[in-house]
Amino acid sequence: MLSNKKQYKFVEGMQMHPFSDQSGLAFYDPRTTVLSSIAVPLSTLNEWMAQPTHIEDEQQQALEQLCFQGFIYLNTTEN
Amino acid sequence: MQSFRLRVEPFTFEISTNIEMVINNAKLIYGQSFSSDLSENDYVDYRISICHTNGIRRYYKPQARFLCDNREPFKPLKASQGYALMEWGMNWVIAANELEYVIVHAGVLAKDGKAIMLPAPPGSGKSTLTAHLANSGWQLLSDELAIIVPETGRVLPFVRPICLKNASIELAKSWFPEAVFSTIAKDTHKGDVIHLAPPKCAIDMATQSAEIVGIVYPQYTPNTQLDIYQLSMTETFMKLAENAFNFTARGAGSFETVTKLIERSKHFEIHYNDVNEVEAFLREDIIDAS
Repeated sequence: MLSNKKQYKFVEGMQMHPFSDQSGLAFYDPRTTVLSSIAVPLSTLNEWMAQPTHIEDEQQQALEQLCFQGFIYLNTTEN
Repeated sequence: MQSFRLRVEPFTFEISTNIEMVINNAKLIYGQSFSSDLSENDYVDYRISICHTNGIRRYYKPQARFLCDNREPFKPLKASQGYALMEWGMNWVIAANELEYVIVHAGVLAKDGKAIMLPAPPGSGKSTLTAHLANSGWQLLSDELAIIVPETGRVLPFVRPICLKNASIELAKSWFPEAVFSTIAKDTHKGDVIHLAPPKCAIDMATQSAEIVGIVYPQYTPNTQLDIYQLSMTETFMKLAENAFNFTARGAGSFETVTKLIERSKHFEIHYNDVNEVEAFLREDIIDAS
């Protein structure tokens, strides 16, 4: 039986800067000029993006916000 | 109509006006930077006009219009507010046109070649603090606009008068009785407004850029001791982006400039009541520690 695996991926072309104090990341999309940030280190964001169905609601909302702003997208693959 | 030039490093403005108080105040406030010489050989960056509105209204309710390159970004103000309109217009011209630089709405002061940016919204006490520091041994680079060179991350002086409002007017006059002040523009959208001429030493150092070592968000709070909050780099980024005039217009280059700037500077939010406490904090914890 096949199941779907959901993962977030970074959108190509946007700029991202993980701050060295581990306080979070800054994002900028030169096509839309949208700026954003998220207050978690890159390693944590990568974990959330890899398993978006296993994280808390608040964390999912943060990912959805970045998705809405065009910095990440949800990729679904068949296992 | 009369014209004059203001040489304000790194720009030259040519102002045309038929409002006498604009000329008188500009001459008073800009001093050696004011020139009636309109030589064709000197390059002018921006030509501005501050003129009476036309028609019969001029005689019973005189107004002043600001124009630059046939653009009129502001509604006309009372003619008695013409000088303040000129100053605000000069800020707008730079923020709207100078895409070569990253421009942040901030006061900038330096000591020993090290600069601290004070980005803040109106009402935060930024200009009052800037005025105090500029007259207490700090190099004034700007009261309103931090002009940052993307390639170096250094901030250029743009030494202009300091805009003080409402209660700060009497405070500044009591602090600096020898200082030069413009006439008061009463009942503007910011309240009563006055411009304080920059100290001569700031004009003498107007070609000396500085390295930004601190970003401090000041908030005047009555009846409080100095409260200092260290900001994370992420918090600083979003607050700085809110105060950047041309971040999106400049695009990717601004993003890189701002993130690099944040990486190499210290960041704080302060709630203060006593400018002397702030001065000691900025000097000891940021300048001396950098």
